[in-house]
Amino acid sequence: MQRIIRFRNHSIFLILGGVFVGIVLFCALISIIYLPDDPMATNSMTKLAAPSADHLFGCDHEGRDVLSRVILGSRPTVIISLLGILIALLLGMLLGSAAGYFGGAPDHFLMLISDSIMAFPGILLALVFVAVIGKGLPGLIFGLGIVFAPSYARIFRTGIRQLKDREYILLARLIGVKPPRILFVHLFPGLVPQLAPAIVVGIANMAMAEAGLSYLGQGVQIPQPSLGNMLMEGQSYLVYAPWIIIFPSIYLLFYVLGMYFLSEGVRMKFKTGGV
Amino acid sequence: MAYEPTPLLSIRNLSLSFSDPVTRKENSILSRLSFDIRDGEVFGIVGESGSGKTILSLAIAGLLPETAKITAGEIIFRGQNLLSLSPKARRDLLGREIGMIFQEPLSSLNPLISVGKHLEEVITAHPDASTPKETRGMRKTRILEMLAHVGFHDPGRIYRAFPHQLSGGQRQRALIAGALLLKPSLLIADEPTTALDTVTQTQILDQLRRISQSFSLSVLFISHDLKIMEKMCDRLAVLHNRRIVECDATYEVLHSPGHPHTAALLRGARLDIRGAEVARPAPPAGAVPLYRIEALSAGYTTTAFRGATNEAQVLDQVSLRILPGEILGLIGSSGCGKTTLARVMTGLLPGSTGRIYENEELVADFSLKKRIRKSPVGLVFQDPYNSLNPYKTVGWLLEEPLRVNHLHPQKDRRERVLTMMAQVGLPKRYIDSYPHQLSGGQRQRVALAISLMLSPSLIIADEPVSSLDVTVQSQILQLLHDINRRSGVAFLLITHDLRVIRAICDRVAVMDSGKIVETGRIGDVIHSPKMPVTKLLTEQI
Amino acid sequence: MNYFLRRILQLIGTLFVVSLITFAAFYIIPGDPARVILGPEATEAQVEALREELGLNRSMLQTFSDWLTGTLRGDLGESLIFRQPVTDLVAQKIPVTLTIAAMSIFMTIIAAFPLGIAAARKPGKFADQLISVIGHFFLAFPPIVLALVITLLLGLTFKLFIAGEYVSYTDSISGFIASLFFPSIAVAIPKIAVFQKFIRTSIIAERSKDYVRTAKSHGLSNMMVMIRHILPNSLVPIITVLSIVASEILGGVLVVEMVFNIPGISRLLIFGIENRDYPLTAGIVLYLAVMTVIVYFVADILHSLVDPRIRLK
Repeated sequence: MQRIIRFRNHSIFLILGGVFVGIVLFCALISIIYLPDDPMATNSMTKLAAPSADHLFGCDHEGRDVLSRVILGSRPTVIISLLGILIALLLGMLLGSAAGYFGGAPDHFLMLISDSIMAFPGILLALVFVAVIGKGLPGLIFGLGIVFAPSYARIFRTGIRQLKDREYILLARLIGVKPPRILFVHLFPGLVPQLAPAIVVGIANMAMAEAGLSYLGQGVQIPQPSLGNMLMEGQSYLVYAPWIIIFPSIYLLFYVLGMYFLSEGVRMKFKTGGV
Repeated sequence: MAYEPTPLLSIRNLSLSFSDPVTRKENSILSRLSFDIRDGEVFGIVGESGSGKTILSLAIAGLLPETAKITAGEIIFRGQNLLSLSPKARRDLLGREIGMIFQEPLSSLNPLISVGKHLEEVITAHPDASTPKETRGMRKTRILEMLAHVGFHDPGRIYRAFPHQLSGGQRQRALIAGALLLKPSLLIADEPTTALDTVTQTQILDQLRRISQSFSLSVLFISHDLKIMEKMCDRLAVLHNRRIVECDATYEVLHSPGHPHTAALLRGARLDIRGAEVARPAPPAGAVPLYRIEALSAGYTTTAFRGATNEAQVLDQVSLRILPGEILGLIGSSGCGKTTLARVMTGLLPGSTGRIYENEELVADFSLKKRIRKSPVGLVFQDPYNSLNPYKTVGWLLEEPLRVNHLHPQKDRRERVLTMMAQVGLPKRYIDSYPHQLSGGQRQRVALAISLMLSPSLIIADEPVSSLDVTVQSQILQLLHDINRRSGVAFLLITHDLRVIRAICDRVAVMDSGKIVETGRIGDVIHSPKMPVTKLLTEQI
Repeated sequence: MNYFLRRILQLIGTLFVVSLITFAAFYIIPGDPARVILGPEATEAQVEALREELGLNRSMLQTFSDWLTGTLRGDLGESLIFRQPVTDLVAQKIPVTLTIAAMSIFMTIIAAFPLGIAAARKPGKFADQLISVIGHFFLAFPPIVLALVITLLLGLTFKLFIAGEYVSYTDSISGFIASLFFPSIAVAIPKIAVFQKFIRTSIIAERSKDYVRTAKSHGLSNMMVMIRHILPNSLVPIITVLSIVASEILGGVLVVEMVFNIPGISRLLIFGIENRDYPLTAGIVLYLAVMTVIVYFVADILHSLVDPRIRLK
């Protein structure tokens, strides 16, 4: 095992991932103050126009500027994946910690629910939840948050169950540390090596899930652009105007690949970190 | 010069090093080792943890990890330098000419296949070691014979059994059978009984000794335990600081050690702490005990299928008095309930009936399911690797008791921590170290310091030295002894090892199957034990 | 076989919770199937009459218990929009979806094992590095993007298949399989990347266990140690992960079907959700859940075959 670390330096993953994710984050941020063109303005003159100096990424079937739409479209991907993971993490932490720390009946009940959710293909459940909560941003954030929560609950539960009977935790109880402090100060640092890469991968998976839902017409609604629904709209023009889908694809790929690289880097960093 | 037959195994100037995968630096592990093992003798190598004993055995077997490299020397087995053989030829020697057994019998068998399959593999891996056309049935007969030979009364059952159905001792026997199946001439035994309890340990060692004689087998026996070495070995080499510092007949080495390290090991093994100190006078009969435990029972309830509960009684009507400032030893074999008693006393587990008094004041009445208050009892665990939070620094860990109990203003706390570190003999520079940067003994000092931070009147130490090297053992016991004398804190010292009790305790209580069977002054119990259990324990020394 | 009984009960419990969640979901979803069927022109009275006829005015628990008793008898009810039994609708579409899923799982297994074992042989060496770099790239490939890339590259540019062509299994079995080949690949590739990495990790983890040292000390060759000891032991966690991967593949198929324009279950599912056709949606969800539960159950059986600690408990 030691040998690998030398070859696969974790900082390469961190730098590469940081650059990829950085590009997408930068675009999502810049879209607040600047867009090269109006992403909603249709123009019959530029229908399916190929990339040119005027429209770097070309135009779509409605003559809208693809570059502007990609920049604006990366915004829901970033917002949903980051906030969605936050929801998933909070829910997972709450349920997983309760199940892991107290055990017994609450544990059985919570695990039955989480097993049931995990028994599903994620996208199926996401479809159902998003249909319930609504197709807008809040629906996607909470819907995906719920779908992703069980896997974090599991990390918290297993981690806490493994650690809570460790002698150093018994010792902490003995010197008078109260349960909340035991959880947050004494136990959680031990979960970080597993949790941190899982969070970063979760962001990537959630971005993919969002794109999938939007592609299926169940996520961000047209004409509001998102990377997923741009793929759906552009697919019919794959032969004549591949740029309509190529650029959103590349953006999505950058974000997801970047996150995966970051998570690999984070995972290795903790592994080599000594603890 | 007497007649010297050619040795079976001869190590000549063997040097070995590890290359660090990151820095590519070579770390020397063994340096210019030379020794011989003669036909039919049991040759011991003794050394503390990290002295390179295990890596030496792997080097002889040819099972070194990739990062380890033999940099010089020869390993000559039956006149042939093993290091010049092809990997295939070396592999063929394993199991046929050289058998091996290891420290961890619990994990040394593949959990997915039966004992019989394990042993059959030894035969099938050496096609030319068996008669041609040997059938499965013939192989089985051979295996059953060997299983009987290593002391199994029902070899048939063991043959079919999967590892998880066997105890640690049984698994080690099965492994011995595997190592000896093809009648090798050398057996390498690396701490084969360290993970087993005392009774099983004795049985396995006796068996090994007997087998080595009946098979005229040479044994390379590796251990940290001089007592075992004395029983087992004809000759003994002491490994220290990458070298063999002493090598002679066992009796010579143990009775007139020629190297200071050997002497230190022997002192450690005796745990001679008191020196010339006179035993402390017995306290007056009517003294108020610091703690009084009255008829305490405790057990685990496990909920089985459909809500049925099984109760396992672990403590049975235990009554015990702990006097102020004394060191009370609590001795018993593993599983007798010592640890449960410690956990009930500290409040980590509830009792089912019984009472606890502190200074004759009721603090817990378990019959009424009531713990009136938790008293600040310190606790030190056996395994210093698990008892310190790996993600916190020494300074943080020591400050935590003060922080959560809001003791001392924040600015004074660091001062308190440093004072405490000095008291337990930890240099100041370790304040920002993480536990994994410390040695076992240092960690145990930290654990002790954490317990002392809240100035308890009693510290319960549960096997505090049994996972440490012998020289470190005596240092830690010395520290307990000194702290007791200096600050007057009482200790309840829980152990299975009478040497530890004898080293520092004033009184001793003997526990067996959840009951206290005998208590008394240390000298009385050791010299005139009343109960059969106690007699068994005293025979260990 | 107490163990299996317990597991079966557990899995049935899972199915129950799953159906309850979908049902509850539909009662919270805003929207009215009656209005969908009749269109915006219909009067309020007409809509109300249809609601009554379809049983939409009953309480959720009542509807659920009716549906549940029907389901236990094998009757999933009737689609509100199509006015056909749900089982018939699903039976037309599910073979396509399951075939893609099965082909993907098969591809994942046959590709991931050799790759994972090859990478684990010499960790850090060239083969491992290469597999790892390529693996990381495909690990993070969003299935839609991959499906589009395959269509664009292999279909439209290299003409390996005709994009959008689908042959029904009633016409030609071989044509059916062939037309599903590339969609299956699109689903399988990221999963191969995940799975081979896991196989590599488990093998490397097993290799440092004590029993491997014992086997070597018995004189077994490296090959025998791998085949008889390391691989079987690493199978235990690998089977668990395979069952999770299989369930993810089923989810991946749902999306990829749409990209390749294949008439599988996912279009029916989206239709059911958009039109508030709750018997249809609940039926499809239950079908898919049963499929994943079967996968988990098969994994359990495999586990007990491999591991005597489970078998002989």
